Amino acid sequence: MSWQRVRGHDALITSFQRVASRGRLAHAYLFVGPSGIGKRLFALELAKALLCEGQHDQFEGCDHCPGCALLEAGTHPDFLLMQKPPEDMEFRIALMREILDRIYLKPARGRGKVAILDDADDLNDEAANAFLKTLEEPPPGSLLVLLGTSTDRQLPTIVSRCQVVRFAPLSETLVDKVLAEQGIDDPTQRQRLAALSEGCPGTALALSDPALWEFRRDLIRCLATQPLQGVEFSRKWMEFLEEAGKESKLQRRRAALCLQLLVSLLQDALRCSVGSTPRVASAEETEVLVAVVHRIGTDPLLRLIERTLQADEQVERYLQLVLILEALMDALTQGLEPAHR
Amino acid sequence: MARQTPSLPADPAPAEGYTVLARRYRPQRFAELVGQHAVAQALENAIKSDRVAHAYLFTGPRGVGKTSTARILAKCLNCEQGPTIQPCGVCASCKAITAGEDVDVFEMDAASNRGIDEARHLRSNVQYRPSRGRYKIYIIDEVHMLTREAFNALLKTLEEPPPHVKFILATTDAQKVPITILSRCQRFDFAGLTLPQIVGRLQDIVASEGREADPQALDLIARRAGGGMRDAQSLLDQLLSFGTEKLTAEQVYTLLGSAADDWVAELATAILAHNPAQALEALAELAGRGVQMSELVDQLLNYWRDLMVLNCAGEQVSDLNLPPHFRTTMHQQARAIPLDTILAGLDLLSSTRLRLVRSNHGRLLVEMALIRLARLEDLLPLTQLTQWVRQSGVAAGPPGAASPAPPPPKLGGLPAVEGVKKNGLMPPETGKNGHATRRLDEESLTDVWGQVLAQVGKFFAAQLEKAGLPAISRPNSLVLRFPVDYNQDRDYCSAPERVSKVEETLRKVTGEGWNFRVESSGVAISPSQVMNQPTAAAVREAEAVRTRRLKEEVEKEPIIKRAIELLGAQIVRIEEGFTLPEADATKRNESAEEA
Amino acid sequence: MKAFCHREGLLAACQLASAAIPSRDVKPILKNIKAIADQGRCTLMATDLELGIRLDVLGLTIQEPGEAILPAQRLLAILREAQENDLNLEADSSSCVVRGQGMEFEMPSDDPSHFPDIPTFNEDKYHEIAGSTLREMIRRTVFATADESTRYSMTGVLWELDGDTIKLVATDGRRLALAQGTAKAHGDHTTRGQTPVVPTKAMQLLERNLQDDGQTIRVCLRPNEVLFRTELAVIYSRLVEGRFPDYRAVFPKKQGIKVTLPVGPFQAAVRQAAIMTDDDSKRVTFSFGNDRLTLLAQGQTAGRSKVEMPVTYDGKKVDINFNPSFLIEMLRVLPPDAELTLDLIDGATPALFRSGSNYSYLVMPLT
Repeated sequence: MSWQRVRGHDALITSFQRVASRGRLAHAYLFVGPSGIGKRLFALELAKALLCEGQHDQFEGCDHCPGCALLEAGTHPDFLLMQKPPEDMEFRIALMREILDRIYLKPARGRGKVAILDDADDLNDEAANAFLKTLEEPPPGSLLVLLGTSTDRQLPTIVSRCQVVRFAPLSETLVDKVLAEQGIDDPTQRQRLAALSEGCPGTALALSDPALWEFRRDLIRCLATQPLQGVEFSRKWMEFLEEAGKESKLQRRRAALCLQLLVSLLQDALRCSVGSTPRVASAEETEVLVAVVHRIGTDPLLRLIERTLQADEQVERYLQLVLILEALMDALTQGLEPAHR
Repeated sequence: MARQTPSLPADPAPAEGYTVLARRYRPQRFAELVGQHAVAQALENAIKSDRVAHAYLFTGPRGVGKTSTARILAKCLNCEQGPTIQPCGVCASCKAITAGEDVDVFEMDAASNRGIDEARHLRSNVQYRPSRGRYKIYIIDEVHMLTREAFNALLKTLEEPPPHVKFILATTDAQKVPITILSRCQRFDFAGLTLPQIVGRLQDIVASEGREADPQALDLIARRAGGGMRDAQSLLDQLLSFGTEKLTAEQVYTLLGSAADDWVAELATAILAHNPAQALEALAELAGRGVQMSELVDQLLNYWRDLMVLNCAGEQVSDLNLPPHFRTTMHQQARAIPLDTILAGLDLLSSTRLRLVRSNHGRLLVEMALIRLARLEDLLPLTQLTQWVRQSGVAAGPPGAASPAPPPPKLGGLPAVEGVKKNGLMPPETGKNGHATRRLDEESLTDVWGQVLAQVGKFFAAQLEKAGLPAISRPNSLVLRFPVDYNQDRDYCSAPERVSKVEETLRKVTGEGWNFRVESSGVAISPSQVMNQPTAAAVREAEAVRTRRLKEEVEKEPIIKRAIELLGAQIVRIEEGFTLPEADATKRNESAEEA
Repeated sequence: MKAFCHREGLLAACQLASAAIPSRDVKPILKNIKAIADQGRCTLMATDLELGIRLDVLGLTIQEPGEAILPAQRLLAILREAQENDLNLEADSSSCVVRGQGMEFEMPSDDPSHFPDIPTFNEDKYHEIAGSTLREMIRRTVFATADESTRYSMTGVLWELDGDTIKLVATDGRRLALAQGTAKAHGDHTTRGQTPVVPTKAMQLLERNLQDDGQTIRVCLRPNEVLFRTELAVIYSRLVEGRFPDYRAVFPKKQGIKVTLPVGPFQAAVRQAAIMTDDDSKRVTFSFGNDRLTLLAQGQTAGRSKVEMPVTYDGKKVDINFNPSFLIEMLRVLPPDAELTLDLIDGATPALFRSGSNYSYLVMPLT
């Protein structure tokens, strides 16, 4: 019943049910996979399955009992979901202590305890190390679930104390379905979003903002013009970011999404340049991209992609948006000029 | 005690809920340790002869038994039946230590207890006598991570150890432990566990759990564990939990998010066949199946590493990452490319792997890497590198079209390190001419003609120059038109052997075959036109300037700059169409002096 | 739900309940009080998911039964500021309205089913203890719990209830406090076979809720939680995980020399000597011999101190080192005119301080 909310990870659901029926549920899991793929939802449903007070045999939440209700409301005393506050750069030890303080109390509703640690990528060393002993030998009946994007980004001492569960991208068909359910009516748009998101419904939804697609159209138009009106475009781009809100956080999020669109265009161009087919670009967009490829060739294209990825990193590192955009558009302008001596 | 196969720890009755393998099968006695016979023996002797040191330092990789041994030693010392080499395991002390809950055994992870408060805590608490046991035992893991204050606190205690205190320090990085601490501990180096050792213990555990496993699956698990038992057991645990009754290699792949070997081979073959489109398709397929990018790159790295080994050591080399039935194909592939190209591929894959750690664009990075790999031409000497450096981006030609023959030099973004490392020696011939070639078209005409003139001999060049620049009459066809007054020169230049010489030089410079003919323009030439033609001298001057500039540019190239700084490399020769005619020794000396 | 309330009664109840409301950042509903009006009674609950309070409101007449979430902060403010004695309370899952003569307040509310209820005390197995006794016992033990979370099982007080004895034990590994008292068992209530540890926070809340007015309180220890029933409220707390150290094993097995120390003068002496200790090395040497106790302290930077006090002592000379804070904390909770008996073996064995037959305090010596 309640596992139904989890899309695209049926094999994992079956696996966990098998694990539970064998009585082999481990005490610590590390869920890894791209963000927006459904890890948190899965973890919540796993918690529900464990803490459910309904009268049934299956390993799943019933969504009727008081336990499931409290879990949904976020007030279940034996459940804790800890996330890094958005304004912080790291997951700090103060949060970790809260988790530990709670985990070391006996279960209030008698079915065990679940702690979900989201943003495990952002654990700073202090917080991570404070967690080690507990991760290794938690109190009986506890389940700890860490959510991260890859094992590379965790301390090896943390990874070695967890069972790693890898979440695979959803099929494009399934992402399409999810988008349809979320009210995206245009099938072509759904297909493009599905391809763009590389199997992450969360990402696809984030990219579905129509304003972003208008920006993409402008971007393509800009790329099609020779010479590139880089300065002018960077100004329009900055205005678009400012429309997202006054907070830097909102502007940066939009900047990251814009860059993702740019990267996808260049990625499709790259595919064209080696004889592969583009994944997102429409037929007319492909024409523009092919023209670019003719003009500059594969290696310069690779360099432009690198340069765009660099801009993405700069956004993450809180460099000034205006500067990032100007510099990037400048690089694009130069890079898209016809090959010359 | 004779060396025995380590016995499997008895599986203690699990507490409520499931206890993971690593905890259940944690060695509880010396006899149960895997692979640390020497250490166990030494500690037993120390206990028996009542010569247990005040402080021990256990060094070695992760998951090989350092903490387990420390706990065993603690039990031996504090057991109610002790001190003994066989702790009873049932007294209150043994049970508490096994559970990690004994009041007198303090387990500390130095990484998490680095602050000054902990340092003070350590120093002040060490003075209190043990509550229950014989000794107060501090087990400090990752001790190299202590802060300086904590180290100093530790040092003071190690210098004047209270009789009731024992320290067992453990670290994966002995280098970082200060010598002042090292010198006060008795050091034991724990070996990394071998593949057979790990596989052996895994087999025992599988049997003890009443399950079955393919040997290949256990092999894969052990390889992944990198010499650490805990990781191997953790992985096994997960597989036994999630998997079917019998554990197969396939399940291991799925769990790890790696691609099956066949797929890796297919991907590699597409790359080596210079077929980026096919490689991208294979990647798309794999991504759709949930293969993790970092895993895939690791597997490609293994493949390329095997190619390197096969290339150097031949087909009979012993340890390959891929199963034996791939060997023949891989050997063929390895033989067909120069070692330098394989090494460049390894560089590319390594740097991609590093970048994957922090990137949000994993799939893209891998696509770029595959494309670069597939386009990695056989490695070119330095000269072509510098030519490439000077040209910024040569058009690849229309996508999907047959590649133009021969393609302009490309290195996929990597400089050819080899040319510099060999200190300017000529890398082996690559099958094409050893020079950087330059396409001849309207734009490059002046340059190319200049190079031709520089190579055909002073006198001949002077004659040719009188006609000014040639013209491209048709594709691959160059015509030089002499004005009416220069018939004598025209005749001289149109001699067959001289025409051949020009055509030969053209071929050398452009890498293509060109037709050359001499004609009369049928017009007289005006003095002003003469003025505007580049003279031979001017061209040579330009060449010299270019040589100098080229050398400066070459010296500025980061790889070369570093080679000069670090290795004392000297630019001995820059070949590139600047090869002066054999006869012209003075010019050669000049450039040698400049070097 | 709908009810007529006496302002003061409701105010007192809300104030009591809000002692359990967490100050840290939590889901909004937990910053509020849940009210259940049923069968002529209105019960309030507040919790921070670790402990909770449940109590009945006095002087309240129910007009319509039901459940609702009452916004604690605002409601308290209203109850404090309002002059009226009689108020009308009406609340459901979307809003809460308070009406009085010439005033009306409306506040947004929440879904009561999202609130984790606190269990009632319906136990037939429990122990009954005099409130004043328990309060004293808590005072004498709760300061000795571990405040660092390196060993969680010591971050609370151990309860032992068996027959007509109650024991509270607290330790942080360096000193241990044990207080004993009498209790009355009902229905075979016992903690034998378990080691229930009540978190420090809950102990402190309990202490604040105990009066010296001759009331008794009921204690029920269950596998995962403890319920206390005072006159006014039920206090609930989850127990701490982990095994409490075996405190009996820590007590020295043999008898030592007994020294009698008057609390007041002893405390003064220790405090004086402690002036010359540094934060780094809090250590005072207690030198017993020749009918005299000499306290010596030598700080690294502070200086040195020497304080003497007469004691009846005719045993061999014993020097023993203590962290003075550990002694001061204990001495503070004893009446100054009381007497301590110190059981002294040697400078290397824990020293046992006893006050009467009901209080023991063990301190590990420093080397």
